[in-house]
Amino acid sequence: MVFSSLTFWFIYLPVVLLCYYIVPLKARNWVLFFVSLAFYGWGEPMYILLMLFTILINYGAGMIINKVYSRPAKRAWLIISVVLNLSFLVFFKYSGMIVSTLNLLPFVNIAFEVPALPIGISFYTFQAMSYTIDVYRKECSVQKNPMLLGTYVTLFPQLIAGPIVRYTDVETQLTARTHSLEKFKSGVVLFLCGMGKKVLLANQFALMFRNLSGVSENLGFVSGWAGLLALSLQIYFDFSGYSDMARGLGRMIGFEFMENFNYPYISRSITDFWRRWHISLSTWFRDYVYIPLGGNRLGFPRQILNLFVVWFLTGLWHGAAYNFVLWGLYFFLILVMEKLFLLKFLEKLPKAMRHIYAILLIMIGWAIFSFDTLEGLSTMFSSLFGFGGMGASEAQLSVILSYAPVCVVGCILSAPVAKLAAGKIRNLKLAWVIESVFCIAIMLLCTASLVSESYNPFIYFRF
Amino acid sequence: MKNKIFRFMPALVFILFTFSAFIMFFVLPKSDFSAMEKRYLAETPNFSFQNLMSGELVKEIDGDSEKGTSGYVADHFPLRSFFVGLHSYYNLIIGNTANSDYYYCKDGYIVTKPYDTSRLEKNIGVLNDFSENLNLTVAVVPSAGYVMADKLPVNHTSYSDSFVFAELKAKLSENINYCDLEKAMLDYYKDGTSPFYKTDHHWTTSGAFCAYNALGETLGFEPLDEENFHKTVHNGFCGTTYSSSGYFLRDADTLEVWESTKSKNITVEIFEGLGSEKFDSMYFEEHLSEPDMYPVFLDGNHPLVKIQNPDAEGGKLLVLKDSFAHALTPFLAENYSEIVMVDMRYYKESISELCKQEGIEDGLVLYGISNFCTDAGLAFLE
Repeated sequence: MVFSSLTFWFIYLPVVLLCYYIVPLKARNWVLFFVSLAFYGWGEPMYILLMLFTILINYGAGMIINKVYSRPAKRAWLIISVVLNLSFLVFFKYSGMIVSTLNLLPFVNIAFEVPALPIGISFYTFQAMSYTIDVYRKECSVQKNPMLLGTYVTLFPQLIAGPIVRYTDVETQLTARTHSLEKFKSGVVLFLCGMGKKVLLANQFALMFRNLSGVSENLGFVSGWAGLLALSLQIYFDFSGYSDMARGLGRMIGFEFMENFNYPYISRSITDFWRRWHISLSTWFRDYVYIPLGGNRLGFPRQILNLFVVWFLTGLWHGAAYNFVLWGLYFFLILVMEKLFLLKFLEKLPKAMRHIYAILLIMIGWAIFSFDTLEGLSTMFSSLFGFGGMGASEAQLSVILSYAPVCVVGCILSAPVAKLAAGKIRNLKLAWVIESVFCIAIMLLCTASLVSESYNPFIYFRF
Repeated sequence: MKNKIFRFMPALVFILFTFSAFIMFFVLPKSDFSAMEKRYLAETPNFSFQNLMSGELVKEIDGDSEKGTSGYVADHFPLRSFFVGLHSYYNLIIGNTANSDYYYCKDGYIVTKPYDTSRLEKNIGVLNDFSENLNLTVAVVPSAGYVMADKLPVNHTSYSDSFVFAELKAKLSENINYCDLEKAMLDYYKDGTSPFYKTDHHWTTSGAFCAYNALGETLGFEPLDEENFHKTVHNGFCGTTYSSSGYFLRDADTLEVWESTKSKNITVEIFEGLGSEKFDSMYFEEHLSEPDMYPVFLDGNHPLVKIQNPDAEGGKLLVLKDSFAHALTPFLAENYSEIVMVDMRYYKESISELCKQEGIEDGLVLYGISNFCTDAGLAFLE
């Protein structure tokens, strides 16, 4: 199930909230466990077994690692659990990519039906692994109640699109979280902000790109950059919208999750960007891959190798295709250059120049991110660098003009302007009026947009 | 104290909104047909274990994007048309009209956006080949957006009408008579009244009558005068551009039915599937109570319709057409003893066979320009 659907908002969510708040405090985690499984199994009920298996592996591994005394034994059990976790991920997410790569070799021809991708598998596998690793590192105590561990892994707000919540962050919240109207209200506002970002902005930018590239003419210089702007805004508002909805829903049921995005598009370098973009993922890779590999403590060549591994994996994590790997390595190159000399050089430049530098590299990154064929990517790049004609066709210009207002809003909301304004409004006496009107407007417009997706009259209808 | 309670207003508003939609969804009566969309709405999902495990249940509830079917929840959502309208007007207000298929025009008009011309050359070729068999006349109705260019919004793309008509004039074979409806419609529009409806993509009865006069010259018959018709005006016409665009605040249009005072013995035979049914009127008044009244003319789209008028002087005419012909053919019936009207989108038999059987020598091809440029059905002319 996805948050931005009528079924989630108007059927699943009321049922969950009702059940959750009706039952006594002690039973609430059971409610969460079951409704989260239902959320996960929606569409692919068989995968509930896969989820239960993942929970069981990490629960068992945690218990055993806690029990055995010798360090090598602990280590062995940790490795077993990590391998099992990753093998699920590899089988379900990467088998298609691996097989098609092998088939490129001479004399290899493997017939293989790619399994349907279990929703959120990249997210919850990483979460579950963080638990077992932290038990091994003694950063958290073992969870003896399998239901509580299960609730942590499946917790529906963050199950499908993050943030990648670590067990250590919610360990105490699982058993001792507080519920208050204040928290619920702030959850509602955050959820609606996220819903607005997803439905009113990201979906619009997605349509803008589709309308632009759907026109039979190739993209020119102007329409190419307009398309790339749409893609960049879409990816940001989609992802950060989901994170906001997750955090908002979490607050509605008493949880507090980490912030996943911190206005990444105001970055002044790529190093800065990766401190602001998908924070829970980059810190995960830092803590569970980069530092264990030695980080920067084993000399410069080793550090470069470690960075290479991290960015190769970061790219691959985003999708089972080589363009994602390329995208990761693209950032690896830029980050290494920034470490070596670029950052020092950038510091001498005016702020605006640094900002332009960063945003251009980020946008070009999204082009690599978005096209999984070499052909698609090369046409996009030839448009961006002016080889596909300078302007835009009449139809493309009309599309750009149509979406210009929403693009302007998107650009403004990519900066912390709204946050500052909200802070000012909160001090006003009538803040509640403004907040309520804002919420009502978002609710009505998002519902309208979701309902409209189903409205498709038949013009050439025959009785 | 008071202020403290008000602080939680957003939470209250959210709960009220979410739960009232939740309750209304389950409580409100469901309709199984949407007159506005002319389609059956999603049926109640089948809650069986098998259906759940196969994933079908979820598709019935949420819709199936692969098949393009909508789900039960969305189809029966409370206040559905209010939300559809709100969505259309929201996008209109923020200037985003790229994703709609319609232009919100001046003076209450909702007009279909430009079409592509992907099959134009092919269709011209098909007609040229077919003109060997039959004495063909071709008439193509210009698009509303082209004729009423002054009513279009500022941000619009251009219609290919002048290109298409130039192509027709240049490339149609010499065997084919060409009736210039481009000029006829532009002239009609010059005094400010439009030959097209405000809320529908078709032409008005009076617009079709203008074309009838133009066709008289090309086909060589004497058109009847306007006085020979008894006109009735029907209010509340909300046609296809109204319902598809979601601009539900626009006024309904009026639709006129012109019934001949001369020919009283016209019969209509509609063929559908293997059977046929006979009627003694070309006007199907039951459709006047629907939002889309246009099917009042000849009952809308059918593969094959035969219209007989024993009092007419002329002979037989084959009409190959799309729905624009429905408003026009009743006028032609005044001048032909038999009209065989074929919709190539649905009729899959041989046309030459049909002409032989019926003893037809004259044919009229009448299409709206967007269908003429895109429809693949014409290719079946062989």
